[in-house]
Amino acid sequence: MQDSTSVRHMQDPSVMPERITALLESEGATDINVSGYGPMTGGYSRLMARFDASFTSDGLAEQGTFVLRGDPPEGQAIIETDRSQEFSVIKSVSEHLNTPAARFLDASGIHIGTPALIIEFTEAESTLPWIEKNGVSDLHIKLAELAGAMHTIPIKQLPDSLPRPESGDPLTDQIHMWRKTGMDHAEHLPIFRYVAAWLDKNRPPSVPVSLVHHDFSTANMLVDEKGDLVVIDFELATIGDPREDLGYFKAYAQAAPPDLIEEDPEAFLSRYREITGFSEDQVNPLVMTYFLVLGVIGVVSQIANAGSSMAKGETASTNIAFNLDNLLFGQAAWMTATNVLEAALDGEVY
Amino acid sequence: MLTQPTTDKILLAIADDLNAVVLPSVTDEPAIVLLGQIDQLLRRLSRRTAAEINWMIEEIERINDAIGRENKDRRSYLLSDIASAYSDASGALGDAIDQAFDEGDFEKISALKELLLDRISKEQEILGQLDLVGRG
Repeated sequence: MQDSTSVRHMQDPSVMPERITALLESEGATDINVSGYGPMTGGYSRLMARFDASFTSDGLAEQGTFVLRGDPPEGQAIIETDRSQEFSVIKSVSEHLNTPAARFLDASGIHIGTPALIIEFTEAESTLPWIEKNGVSDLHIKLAELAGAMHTIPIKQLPDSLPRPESGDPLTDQIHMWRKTGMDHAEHLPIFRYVAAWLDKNRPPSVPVSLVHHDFSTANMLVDEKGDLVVIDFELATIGDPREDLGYFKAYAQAAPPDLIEEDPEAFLSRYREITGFSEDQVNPLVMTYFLVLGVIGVVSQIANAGSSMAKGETASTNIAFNLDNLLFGQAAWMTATNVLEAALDGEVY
Repeated sequence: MLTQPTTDKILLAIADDLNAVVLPSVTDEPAIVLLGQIDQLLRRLSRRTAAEINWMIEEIERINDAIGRENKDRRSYLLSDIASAYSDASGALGDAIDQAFDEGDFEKISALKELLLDRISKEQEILGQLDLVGRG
C-alpha cells in the first residue's frame, strides 16, 4: 500500500535510481544505468518524475529519457485510477496515436514504493505555451485528426478491462452518473439533478461506442517538433460515446482558453466527420454543446467524491478543496450551455 | 471573544502575506503550485465566510416558498446546522426538479431554474477569477 513515504521517495533523487533499476531488472533488462532523476510538475493527479536511462532489453541496447508516473499516497489522490489499466491502454493505442510509448509497469509498487509506470519522454512543449508563441496555426484540424484517430481504434484492439457502459447505452450511464453524483455527495446538489433531467430530455442521435479519453484537453496534449499534437494521460479512458471527448475539450477550454474547435468549428467538424464517418445529425455544434455538459461527469464525479471524503473527515488536502471549487465554475458553464441549447432548439429535440 | 478584525479580513491578510513574503522565497515547483492554490482558496474563503450563513438561510426560505415546503423556526445558527438544513432544502429542490421534468411542467421547471441561477450568482461571487493552478 502506498503511503506518504512513497511521495518522499519519488521526490528523492538519491533513492529512486536504485528503485527504477530494480524495476527494470525485474522486467529482464540488463546493463542498467539510471541518472538525472528529478520530480516534474504538471502531473495533475499522479506523481511525476523524469530520468535518463541506458539498458539492454531483449538483446537491444537502449538509451533515452523516461517519465515515471506513480500514485500519490492513499486518500491524497483527487481521482482514483489504476496504473495497470493505464499501462495496457497506452500499449494498445500507441500504434494508432501520437503518444509516448509505455515501457515498464510496477503494478503493485513493490519496486517504486507506489504503483507506477514508466513511459518514454517526448521532446514536446505544453500546448498553451506553444500557442502563445506560435499562434493556433492549423491545430484545430490536427485536433480533429487526433480525435478521429482515437475514436476509430477498433474496439477489439482495446483491453478487455476497459469499463463498458453498464446499461449498454453510454448516454444512459452518464446521465445516471449525473443524477447519482447530485444525490450521493456530502450535500445535495440540485444543479446536478437539473442537468441530469435536462440531458435525459434532450438526447441526440446515437453513434457507435469507441475509446473515450475522458480528460481530452490541452492540459493532456503536447506539440512536438513537427507541430503535431501528442496526446497523453489515459488513466480515465473507458469505452463510451466518443462525442464525450469533444464536449469535454470545449468545457475545459472555457476555463483554459483558447478553444481550438472554435477557431473554425465547421472545418473541425468536417474533418472529424470525414475520419469517423459520423453524419451531420450525429455531430454538429449543438450536439457538441450537449456533450460539453454530459462529457465532464466522469472527472466531475471523481472530484465530488474526493470532496465528500474530505467533508466526512476521511481525508484532507489543499488540492481536493481547490478542485472542488472548480465545480462552481462548472455549474455556471453547464447551466449556460443548457440555456444556449434551449434557445437554439426552441423546445425541439435534435 | 474578539470579533475584530473579522475572519474574512484575517484570511485575506494571510493570503497577502503568503503571496508577498513566503512565495518569493520558495523555489520548489510543487510548493509554488500549492501556494498558488492556497492563495486562491484563502481569498474565496474570505468572501464566503463573511456571508455564507446568511446566504444559506435566505436560499432555504426561497426554496421552501417555491416548492411549498414549510419554513421551520431555527433553533441553531451553528454553521454545521445551517449547512445541514441547506442540504435538506437542496435535496427537496432536486426532487421537485425531477418531478417537474417527469410531468413536463415547463412553468415549474422555469421557476425552479431561477433558484439555481440565483445560487450560481452567489457561487460566482465566491469564486472570483478562476486560475487552474497546477494544470499544464
